[in-house]
Amino acid sequence: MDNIIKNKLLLFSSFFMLVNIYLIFIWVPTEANQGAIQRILYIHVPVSQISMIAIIIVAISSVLFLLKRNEFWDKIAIASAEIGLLYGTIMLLSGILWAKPVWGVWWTGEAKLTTALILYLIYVSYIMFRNYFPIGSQGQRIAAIIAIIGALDTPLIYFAANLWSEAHPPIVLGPASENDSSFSSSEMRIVWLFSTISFMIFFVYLLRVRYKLQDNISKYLKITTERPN
Amino acid sequence: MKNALIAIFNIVKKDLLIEFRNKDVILSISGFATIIIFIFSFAFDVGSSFSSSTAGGILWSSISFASIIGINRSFVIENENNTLGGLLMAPISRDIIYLGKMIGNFIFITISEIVILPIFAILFNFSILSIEFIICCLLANIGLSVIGTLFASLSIKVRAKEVLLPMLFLPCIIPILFASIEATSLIFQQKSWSELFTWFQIIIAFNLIFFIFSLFISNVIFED
Repeated sequence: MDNIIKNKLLLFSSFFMLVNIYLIFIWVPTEANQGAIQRILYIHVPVSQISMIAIIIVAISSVLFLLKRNEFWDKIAIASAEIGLLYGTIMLLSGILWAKPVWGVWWTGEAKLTTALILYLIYVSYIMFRNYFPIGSQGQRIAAIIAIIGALDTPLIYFAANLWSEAHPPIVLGPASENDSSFSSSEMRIVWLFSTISFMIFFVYLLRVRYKLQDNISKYLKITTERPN
Repeated sequence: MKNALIAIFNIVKKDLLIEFRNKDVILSISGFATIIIFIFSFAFDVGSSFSSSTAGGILWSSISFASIIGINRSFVIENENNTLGGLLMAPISRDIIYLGKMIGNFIFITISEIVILPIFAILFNFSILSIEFIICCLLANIGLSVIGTLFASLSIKVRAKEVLLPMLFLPCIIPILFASIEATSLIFQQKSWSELFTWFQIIIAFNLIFFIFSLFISNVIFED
């Protein structure tokens, strides 16, 4: 049953991604202001949204783990953190590649960018922490606390970064420095929506695979640590 | 309430007594921050046209890097001497232990700044003798000690904590860094209280949120 669900998810995901590639690179018209580079946004924007959703899943799972002490939530948290990190990496790289020709700079001090980068670093530290901590429930508890700290800190980081960028306005040049509407036509919005759905299905597939892996790891550790001498 | 205050006082007194004998934490913080400030004074062209915001950035970056090393040291001492177990066995709640350690770390950071700030003022030619600047430092120190003590207590048993702790600590204190750098810059430009207060509000909000969170979560951190 488990394999059937996994294979169906993989099938759906592959189908949606193939259609997505066709829509992004062939079907959708080229944006007049930004040119062909605008197509990267059909990957960047959905991936950014899903990486933020992944972080919310990590935070909620961590709270539920601390309240219920059910290992299911801990496995969801680590799975979501790793997949969210993967999506976050794609977000940062695709964003940088888009920004240079469009804004004229690789990076600005804008609040959204700063918040995204800081959150990314917090979650890198979260995953490193989990790997460096000795195996056991204490590591799970402490990792959950770190995830909650990251979630609590996010609005403060955004607010502070917003005030900072108002005090020190970033200098952007380039074709989209004045106009920020990257999905101006209905075809573009359709492709953006389809791309979001495709990446979301892929995220769910990866989350399931990673959850199963974590489940197998914890079963293995239980057997090896409970073995009589 | 009275017993809790006595317990907090005793934990702070213990930490201060150990510190004044070994001088581990204060020397770590003040020495490391001073070295970073020296290096920046060579790296940047320090003169009359030196930007106040750059100076604020250098100061608070140095204090942040140095604080985490010092705060980590305060827990490493407990671990090395196997005294943490004794502290946990004492008939006091875990939030009292956290409060005591936090107040101790706040005092260490503040004392270290008494050394760091005059050196900074001399090298970068800025005046630090203003009530606004002292308030900014005290508020930022509270934030650094709240979050630093929280993270240091989380990472007692983790390996490579010297690498991991700064990686966790520095992104999380970004609101304090932004606010204190900008407030310092405004103070050096002799701006009004109303402009400063916006940035102080961020530090106060950060301190309150994480202070309350730390008190609640301290039982989970020190759980067996």
